[in-house]
Amino acid sequence: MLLSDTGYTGHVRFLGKGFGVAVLAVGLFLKSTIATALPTSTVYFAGIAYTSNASNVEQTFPHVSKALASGGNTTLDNSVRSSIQGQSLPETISFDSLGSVKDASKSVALALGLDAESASVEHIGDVYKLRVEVSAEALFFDFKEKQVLGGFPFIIDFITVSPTPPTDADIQKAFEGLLFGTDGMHSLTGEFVKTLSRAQVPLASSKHLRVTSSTLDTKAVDYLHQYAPQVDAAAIPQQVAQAFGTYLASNQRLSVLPYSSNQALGSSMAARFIEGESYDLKIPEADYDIRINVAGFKKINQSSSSVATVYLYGAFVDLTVLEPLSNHVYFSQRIKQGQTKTVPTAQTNVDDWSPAYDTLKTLFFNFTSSLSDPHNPWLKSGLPSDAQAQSQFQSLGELIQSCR
Amino acid sequence: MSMKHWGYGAIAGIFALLAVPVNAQTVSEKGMATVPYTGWSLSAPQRQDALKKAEVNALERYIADTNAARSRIFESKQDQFTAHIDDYILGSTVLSENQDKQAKTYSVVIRADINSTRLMNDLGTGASSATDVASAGHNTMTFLFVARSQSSVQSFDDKVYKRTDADSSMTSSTNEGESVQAHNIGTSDSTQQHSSQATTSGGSVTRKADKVDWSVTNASEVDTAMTGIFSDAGYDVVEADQVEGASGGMVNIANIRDAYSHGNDLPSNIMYSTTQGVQRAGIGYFAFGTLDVGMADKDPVSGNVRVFVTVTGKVLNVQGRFARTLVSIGPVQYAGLGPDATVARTNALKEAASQAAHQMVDELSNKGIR
Repeated sequence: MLLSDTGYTGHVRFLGKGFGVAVLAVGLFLKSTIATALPTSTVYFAGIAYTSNASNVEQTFPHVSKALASGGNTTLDNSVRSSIQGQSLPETISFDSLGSVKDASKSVALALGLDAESASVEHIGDVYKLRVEVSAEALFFDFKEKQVLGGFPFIIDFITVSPTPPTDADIQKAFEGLLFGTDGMHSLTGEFVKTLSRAQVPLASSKHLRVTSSTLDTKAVDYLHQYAPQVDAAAIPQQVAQAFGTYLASNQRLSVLPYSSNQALGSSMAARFIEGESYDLKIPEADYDIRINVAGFKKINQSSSSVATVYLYGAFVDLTVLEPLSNHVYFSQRIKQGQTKTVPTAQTNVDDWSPAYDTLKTLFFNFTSSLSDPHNPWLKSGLPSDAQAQSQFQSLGELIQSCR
Repeated sequence: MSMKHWGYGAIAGIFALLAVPVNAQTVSEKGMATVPYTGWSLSAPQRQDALKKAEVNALERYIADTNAARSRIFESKQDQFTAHIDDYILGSTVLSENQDKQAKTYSVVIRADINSTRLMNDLGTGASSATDVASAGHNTMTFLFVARSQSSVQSFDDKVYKRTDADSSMTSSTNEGESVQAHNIGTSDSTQQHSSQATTSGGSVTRKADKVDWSVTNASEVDTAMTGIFSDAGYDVVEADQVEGASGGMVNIANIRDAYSHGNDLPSNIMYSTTQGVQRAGIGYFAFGTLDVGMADKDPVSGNVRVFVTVTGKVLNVQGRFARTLVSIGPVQYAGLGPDATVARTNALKEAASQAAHQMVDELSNKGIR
């Protein structure tokens, strides 16, 4: 922004002779005012977009795409627009056409990015537990440059039980509830607006964090094969990366760059809007790489009685955060989490994947929360106690703070 | 400095702090540097020195990712760029710093915002001001690039030649005998026959390349993109239509288009006549080539229609008796995306023309021609 644009040119000239230091101070003040005022600039709402590859939309979103295909897109779009319009948000969201001549230089766009959907059914005793989940994000991007500025990911889920195995129609209905909102359920619109209430447009000077690698180690794959052969192991790294990014962004109130499992297309992502427009968005090079390797899961019979058995589920992750150019490692440690689950003796069928995955997510939640809370009790159990690990954790906390 | 000057200096400072070049294109690039230090600890000037070196490193990395011609120009002028590094770096963010107290070294990694427009201008590969063009004298240039798409592909069946040689031979021998004794006469005879047949087969298969006819079209987007880039780089661009008129009939655009509709190269007589005609029209440089538009397919990432364009081209210096090749580019492929094939084709042609023109300008600039 030019000084003359702010209308301050005349004011500075008036100060004139002998007030150089004061003028400089005013200038610095103006600079800082403008800098802090930037987040309140207008952001154009571009719509709702799938962020997976075009060819994978039906495969990645079998239920969401079906729900949005037959008029659902208009319903959701209207719902999002009306919800945003009624809110007081840090950013001014405009629903006008993007990139008008008057506003050509301001081309920050916002999209509700749909990253993934998942559904799982667990047979517990006499009932079936259905869990559906949608991963999404408030995605800010530079429309002119077609470049991602940063994302604020969030996950919404819905759990229900039924005496009979849920049919595909039941699963579809559960997803529609999440998308369009029903009594007693989180809605995509509601969570999106909630995310926006604490999100600001990432500035160019902000440091970029990105999960660049997410892998399953042999023991983790073995666990899946042994306890959950029905789970598609190839899809897990993407979910793990998204879950970590979500907790990091939410607990530390910062934006993260989107993860892409496709190495060949790692520097770009598709944004396929449900209205039909489609863009290839560039993802800027991350300033700091986050590399996640799920080292393994464990299931231990902790105690048994005539009534129930208590199982302890463990999740182990090798987490590395580094600056890729210098290879300066800020953090490289194995972190872990244990979580118990009580299974009634009468229950014959136990789903061992859901509690293991929940344990992993709890690990991510605790780790990312602790980054700004050095007295978090989780640190004693989840982080190695040696001096190097403690020192690295402190460095990482400082790094995360500098990324806000 | 008097207070008055102080005030003006401060005002200038404010402008510098607040002014962001409106038309400047900025790119982000990382840079790193390691410097040794003396004394007990790192001093502020030593840290500043490391930051400047990291900024220069960011500039080098950015240039290295563009093309070889720009890289060579940058190397030849590196001292100049280093001395005025603040002119090209709009701002930088420290990403990582590490002070090794034992080795007495300080390492820093930054992300720099580079004013790429100014950098390209000063490298001589970007836009020149009207004054520069006027003062530097005119290097006149004309160009003729044609956009082609396949109109017909004639495929030939394999020509198969087979030959079989059969040799047969037969030998026969007859023996007859007669014995005469007192009371009788005896005769004997026998016949032996032998025959053989030998067959030798062979042949050849001749495959003939497809005969491709091209539909040569006018592509205004190509002309516009190239004219803009050559003009910005300081060339005095003359439209090919104008040159045709001034060449005394030696440049015949229709003939050139027709030649490109049947093949990938200009026949030698057309090439010679054209270069002589361009020279006769008083033009120093002649750029020509083809942009071949491929078939449309679907982009697997975005779902848009995607069209590839393959570009090849040359720049000739036609000022002497013989035309000499200065720059040769391609074949290089560029893709364009769009909601339909027409938009994708236009985007691909614009991108290919722009990139090809940039590369030609860079190569020419590297050879000291501007």
